[in-house]
Amino acid sequence: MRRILTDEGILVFTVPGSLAYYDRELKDINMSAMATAGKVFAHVAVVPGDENIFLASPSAKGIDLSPQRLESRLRDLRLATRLISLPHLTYRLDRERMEWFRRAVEPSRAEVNRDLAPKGLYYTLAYVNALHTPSMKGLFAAAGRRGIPVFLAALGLFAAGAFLLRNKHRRIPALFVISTTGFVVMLLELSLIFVFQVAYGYVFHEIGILITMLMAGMAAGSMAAARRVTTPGVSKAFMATEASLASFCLLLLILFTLTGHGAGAGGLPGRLLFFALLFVPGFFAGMEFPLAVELCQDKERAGGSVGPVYAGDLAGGFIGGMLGGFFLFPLMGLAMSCLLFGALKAAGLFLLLLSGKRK
Amino acid sequence: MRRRDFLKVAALTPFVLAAGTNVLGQESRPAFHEALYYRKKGSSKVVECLLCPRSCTLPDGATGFCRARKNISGRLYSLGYGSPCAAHIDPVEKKPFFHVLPRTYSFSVASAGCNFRCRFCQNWQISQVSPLETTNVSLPPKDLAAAAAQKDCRSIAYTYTEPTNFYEYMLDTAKTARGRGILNVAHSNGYINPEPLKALCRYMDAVNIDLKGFSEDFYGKLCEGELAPVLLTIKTLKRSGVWVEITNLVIEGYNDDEKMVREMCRWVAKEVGRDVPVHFSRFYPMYKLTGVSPTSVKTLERARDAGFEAGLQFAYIGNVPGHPGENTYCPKCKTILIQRSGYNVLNMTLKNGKCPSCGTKIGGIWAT
Repeated sequence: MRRILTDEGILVFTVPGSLAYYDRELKDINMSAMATAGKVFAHVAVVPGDENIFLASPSAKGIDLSPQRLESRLRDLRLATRLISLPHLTYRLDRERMEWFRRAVEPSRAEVNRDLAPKGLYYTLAYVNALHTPSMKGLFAAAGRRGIPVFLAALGLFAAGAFLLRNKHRRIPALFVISTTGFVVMLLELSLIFVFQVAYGYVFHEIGILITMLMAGMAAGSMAAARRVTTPGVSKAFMATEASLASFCLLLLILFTLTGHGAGAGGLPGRLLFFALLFVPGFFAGMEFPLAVELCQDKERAGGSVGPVYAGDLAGGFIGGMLGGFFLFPLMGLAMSCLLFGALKAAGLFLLLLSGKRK
Repeated sequence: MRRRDFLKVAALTPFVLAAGTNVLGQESRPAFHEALYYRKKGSSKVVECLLCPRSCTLPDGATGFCRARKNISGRLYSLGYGSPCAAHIDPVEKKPFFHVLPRTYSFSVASAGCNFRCRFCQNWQISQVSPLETTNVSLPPKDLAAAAAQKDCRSIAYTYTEPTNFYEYMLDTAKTARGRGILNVAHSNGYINPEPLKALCRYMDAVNIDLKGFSEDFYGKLCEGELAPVLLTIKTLKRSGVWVEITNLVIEGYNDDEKMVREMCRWVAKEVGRDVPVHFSRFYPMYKLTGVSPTSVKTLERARDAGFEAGLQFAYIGNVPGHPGENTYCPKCKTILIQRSGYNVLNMTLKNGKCPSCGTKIGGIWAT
């Protein structure tokens, strides 16, 4: 926006507001918008109302909130208006109300919204949640404050449990890997779809292709792995796949960090890159599934080995899908999330290595 | 409040106040004040709230439907006494009052809670929560009246949420304000029992009632309320000598049926009086009713015409700034008496409450 605006240009947008009261959700959403606009533009002003009008400009000249000057400009331009009159402008641009708005939202510690660290998404979700499910307000706010440490601790406990119990049951390392793969791949897919939206400004037109690419990757991966399950190198192949997934997470971390704002994705080559990036995690996830089934196989009951593996994969995906969009991406940002995914896959690799040595 | 009750109350309010949001006063925890209208049921600690027609029966520790009244050890307490969550200075036209001291300011306060659940509520952040959940300021009745006087406000408005919820605070403030020559005005849904209403009427100067629709079905489905008690309130207010204005938020497809609007206008003209101003206000998608378009100006104009045809002298169009339907016209000679745009009075020719052209007396409160 800043790049395409002239020095006296103004970016105008609205954010939900109130002329009576600002609850936590409303404070956060407005404070985040103010902080974000202030990060990019030297001058930001807000006209409070039921919808707050945000004005952001590189120059103070761009934002003139003097009712008298605005009215005289209207007169000079001979613009006939019914609503916009001096009394109306004086009421809407009342300095005391603007000051009240500033004081109302100031206590909020809401952070800047960035393309790849979309805090504003969390604040918006919290606002919508307060509107439709007020009984969950406290839970949502607590998740915002302490959700990430609690989640990381839970994940750490899950991993520790898998490490401690790896020798108790031969299936545990494979199930840990497959469930974390379900979790990670679901979130990698969501993150790439999110970045596609950021880069191109739309995702709906191509969401089908994007999802299909992941599915195609999974199909190809399963086919490729099917050849290896008959050979004795199943464990090695499993470890190699896990290492590849960890490396891919780190590659995405570097990509997200370098591209920063996610802009400038280009035309067809950019799209092809996105398709490829979605194909790859799908491929590895597809590979891991038959390998995990082989490692968990129950000679008497085929279903007995497929069931837990499939359930682990889907449960991981479910948890990832639920947590990712609501909390992980908005609160941790996409790059840090990729670091977490990489660490999770590295832990899976380590677990496989340890259980392999034991054998 | 007994020490034991106080400790219990303190334990029941484990929340941390965020930093201030209000214009005036210091942040405060909600003050608890024993309710005026309730009765104990039997020898147990169960109480029945008698303030509004909902008549909530509350066991010990329970909070009423309004979220603003709580049974603590067999006594009913109003939770938001002396600690409003919103305190602002607004033009009186914003309430809306078009026949009460035009061009003056009203010190407007609210405490959280509501005995309705309107799906189109404008102030849902405070109406659909308890005073225990909002950031409040300490503004006891005396301080509130003093602040209004200091800020040159000619009236105190009990508004934003449903003032019945903070009835005791409103009543005590109204008594103090009257002593200082400040008017008391309220914007209410009218869902209150006759006895507390009559006690309030002794100190209330003007009330704007939201007549949200003219069918029980509408009230039931969109507000979780009832129409009949609201109509009784309007009649009681008028009989008590309180100046009454009525606001009808017109929502297309829900309460804009021509027959319903005509019936409502005829009822107002016959049962309350032809000089009662009715504001047909434009709906904007809000809260949970976001799938409905803003009301078209034509629909509002039709409703206003229906009002005049029913014999009403003052029918207004609201939320359409600059529309001629915002002006006050002399019912006899049609001279423009007060010209408005939004909350602004652009021109006022009314003299001593009379039309300057034909001398017709215009109902309202024009001077104190």
